[in-house]
Amino acid sequence: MKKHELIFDERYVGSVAVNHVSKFYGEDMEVKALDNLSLQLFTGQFVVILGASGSGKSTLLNVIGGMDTVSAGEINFAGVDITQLPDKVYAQYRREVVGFIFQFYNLMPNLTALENVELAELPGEMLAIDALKAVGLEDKADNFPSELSGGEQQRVAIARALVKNPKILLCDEPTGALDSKTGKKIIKLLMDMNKDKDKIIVVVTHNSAIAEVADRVLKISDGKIVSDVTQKFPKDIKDIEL
Amino acid sequence: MNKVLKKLRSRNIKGNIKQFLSVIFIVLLATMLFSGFMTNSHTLNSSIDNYFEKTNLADLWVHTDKVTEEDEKFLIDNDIEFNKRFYFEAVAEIKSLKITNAVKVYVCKAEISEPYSGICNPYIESGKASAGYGCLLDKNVAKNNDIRAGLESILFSCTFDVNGEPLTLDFEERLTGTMSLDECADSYATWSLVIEEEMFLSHIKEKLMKVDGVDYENFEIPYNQLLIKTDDVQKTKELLKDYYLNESTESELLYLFGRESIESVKLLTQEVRQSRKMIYVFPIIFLIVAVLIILTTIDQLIIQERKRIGILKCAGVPNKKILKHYSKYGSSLCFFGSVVGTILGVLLIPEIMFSRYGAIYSIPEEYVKLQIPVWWLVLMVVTMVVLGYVVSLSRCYSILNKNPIECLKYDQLGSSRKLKKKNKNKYFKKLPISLKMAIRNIQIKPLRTVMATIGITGCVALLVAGFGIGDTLSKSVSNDYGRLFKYDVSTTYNTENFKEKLAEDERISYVEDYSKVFVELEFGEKRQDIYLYSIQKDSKISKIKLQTGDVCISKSTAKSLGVGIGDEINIRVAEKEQKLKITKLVETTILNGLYVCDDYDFADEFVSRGVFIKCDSDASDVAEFVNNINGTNTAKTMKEERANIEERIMSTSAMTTTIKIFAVLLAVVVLLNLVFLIVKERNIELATLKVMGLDSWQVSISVILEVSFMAAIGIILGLFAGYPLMLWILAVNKIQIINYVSTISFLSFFASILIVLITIFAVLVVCYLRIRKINMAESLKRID
Ligand SMILES: Nc1ncnc2c1ncn2[C@@H]1O[C@H](COP(=O)(O)OP(=O)(O)OP(=O)(O)O)[C@@H](O)[C@H]1O
Ligand SMILES: [Mg+2]
Repeated sequence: MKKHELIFDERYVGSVAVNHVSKFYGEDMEVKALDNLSLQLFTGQFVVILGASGSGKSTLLNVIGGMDTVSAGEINFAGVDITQLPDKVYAQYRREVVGFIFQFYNLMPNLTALENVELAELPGEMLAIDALKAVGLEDKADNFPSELSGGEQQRVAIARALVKNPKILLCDEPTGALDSKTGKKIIKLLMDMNKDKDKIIVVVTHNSAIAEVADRVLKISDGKIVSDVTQKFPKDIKDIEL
Repeated sequence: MNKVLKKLRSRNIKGNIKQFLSVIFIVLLATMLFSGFMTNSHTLNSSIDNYFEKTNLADLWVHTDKVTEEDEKFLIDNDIEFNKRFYFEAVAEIKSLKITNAVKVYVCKAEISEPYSGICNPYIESGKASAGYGCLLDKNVAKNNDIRAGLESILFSCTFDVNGEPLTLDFEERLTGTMSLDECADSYATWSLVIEEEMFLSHIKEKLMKVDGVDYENFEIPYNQLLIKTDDVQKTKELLKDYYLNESTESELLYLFGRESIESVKLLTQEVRQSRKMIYVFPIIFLIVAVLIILTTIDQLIIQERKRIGILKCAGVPNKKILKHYSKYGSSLCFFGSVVGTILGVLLIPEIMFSRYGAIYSIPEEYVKLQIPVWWLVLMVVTMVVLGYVVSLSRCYSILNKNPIECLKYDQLGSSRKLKKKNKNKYFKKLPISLKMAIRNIQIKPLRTVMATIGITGCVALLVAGFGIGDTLSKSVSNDYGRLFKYDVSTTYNTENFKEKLAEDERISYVEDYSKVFVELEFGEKRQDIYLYSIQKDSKISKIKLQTGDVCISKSTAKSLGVGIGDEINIRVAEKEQKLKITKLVETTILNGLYVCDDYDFADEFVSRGVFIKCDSDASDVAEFVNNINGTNTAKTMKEERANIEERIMSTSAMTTTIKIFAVLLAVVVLLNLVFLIVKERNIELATLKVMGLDSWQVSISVILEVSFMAAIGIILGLFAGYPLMLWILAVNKIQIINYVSTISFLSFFASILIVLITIFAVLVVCYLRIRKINMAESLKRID
């Protein structure tokens, strides 16, 4: 499968437009996880999403990442409404455009670190071992996840996302299960990934300190965006205290 | 706290409903088979006893040339309960329908109506009979030919000894009813007819009146059979033998035999024995798989529950309570499955089996007594419950022995170190990732692998055995009729000009003589009543090539007596004795016995003479022609003979269908359980793969590979296990008179593999659909 098989308009690659998206749950759709939410994300941005528990942060990431369907509205990536994609192309979108990082790493327990990364390798992109080198874990390549610490596992997860050079990187509480020092390392890694400003990185977190290093900070409450601040001069990762 | 635990349990059951259903279902299958066969065996047993008791079946049959007053006095003096009967064979014709057939006629006392007081009473199915009135035809014959009692008449002739000369009289008797006679329940080809003796005697007298010089007033029925009831069969037998061998006894003994020599009784009692053994054949395989399924399911559950067990432990719930809580899963599932299975088995299996027995052995329906072996069934349910309890308890115990922190750890893969060592291999590293995943998963879950493999092995083995039994049966049938003997019609006769008459028909192209006699064979301590056949020297009909002096014995008879080539045996017909030396063995299915050459010096003693006939036109037409020749006993086509055995082995051949169905059910349950276990356990992994953009096929491939690997091993093992399993089933289902020539064709192996592959494919499709249905957002929420 090659990238160009997805018929995206190259002129627009880089921006994601979430238009009037709603996501309801329950029989009578009484739970509004996302409520007519509109949002545009631009390449090169490091976006942090904050919000109370249950406000809809994960749901937003899921619909952008193609993991979940929307109840209403559209999500536009490079000129294509991804909510309307047939299954096969939808999977291709996830495989080639989106990278995911989870709070609990979600590595395959019976694959070694290297194999976990190889799983996401795409032809013409980075090699798995290089991705592992980038996160500093080349010497643990043959370890199984159970033989790695939480932080190391998350680094493998990052390598797994990194290896396919995604246009959008979605991270749901990537530091949630880690201590502050390790968490900082992880955030640093994520930021380093975007040195070339060719990705959209979205990080959902409960830790408002992380927001200080972001280019843009969104606050969500009850499925709606209540604040959207672009920080012209984000702090350096070294200067914050997680 | 107990309340909370109870809630926890009911929710767990809801959450793992598919695994639980498969536990219930496999337990159900096992217990259903067991309880069904058990009930069937008991019911069959009690029905047969009931039947024999109601019709007052004799213990001994005595065939003599005549029954004299002296004989009767001897019996009365010795306090032996008896009935006399006049028995003869004839060719009968149903008048209006113009159908003819060989018939066995029993002329006996009036006690053929209820309440029974005679011996060997016919069971009257329709119509009636009473003192001085009654002519009853076999109910199956009546049914098959649509003969209604009271409307039809039957024509036959009988030869009597009048003034020292044979005199043949023709009779026309009106059928007054239909019946079944338990002695003749197995005769498919020969009809049986029971005639009330007073009525018959008056008809004979009417006819004799017209013959000159006959004292018809004092004519008596020439009784030639004694039916004897006795508690000590062996003793009475000896007593009678001594009596008849005595020089001063006027009447001559032709045959003397007990129930064990009556084919239909033999069949029925064998069927009981066989049905009893059936109880153990299949349920064992199912039980093994059931235990494995319970083990793996509980295992799976407890792994899921590890964290919860850890939490419960940390929360200070005592070990005992936790153990009790989890062991209830196994026992309650087994309880439920075995109770439902028992009920279904009791209700369904005897019902299905009896619809067959009824037809084959003509046990009247009202004699069928459903007998439920309650205590056995209770014992079985208790065993299943204990089994489930012990299995889940032991699994839970091993988890509880770990410290709570270990339980709480997220890592599921305790055995990764074991994996690492094995996978250092550089060839392994080059394998595709999905294959690596599959191999490692198999390594991590040995128990589950064993379960699935045994399940598939069982399925393939059962299928191979099922098809193999089919092959064996058809080979066995054509072994005797087709391979060993190849003719169109055969018959026995007792008149001199029979062969001349036969030669008149142009359709008959070849006639060859043979003869057969029932002899007592003696070898060392062992003795057995068997047939002695005499075949022409250069027979064109038989494959058994015999030279003068050759004595050939059927393998099964040889085996049961323990004789081999070179051994000397003793045979006895009536009062004559002869020593023979075995020179050859032959494999037979039903034509078991001794074969000698027709110019053997013993051949003079043969009582029954017969012919094999080859013809150019339709065999059944020729058989009908032969039957119409005076003096023919029963002309049968080879096709009829074949049909005859086929019916005898019907219960075995019907079983093959059951085997195949249960084999497929077994595979389906095991595979579905496997697939659901895997999908459930790896839900998060599979969802993650999906999130990473692998399509459903790529996500499924490792699971499919894993299942296929187990299936492949299972198929290979099953192919090897199939033949021994078949032999075992055949051995269990052995009927004494039939010796199976076991064989399996290549096609059977092929068909078994094909059926399993189709089943596996269907399950893999289900697996694929399940994986496709995985909701990424939901699965990754990680509730535990
Ligand atoms: N399957 C579901 N059925 C019903 N309601 C759901 C379902 N999934 C999510 N919700 C609801 O949708 C809302 C948003 O959930 P979401 O997971 O996006 O929250 P969140 O912002 O990520 O919270 P947290 O920070 O705790 O992870 C919540 O109110 C939740 O109750
Ligand atoms: Mg969330």
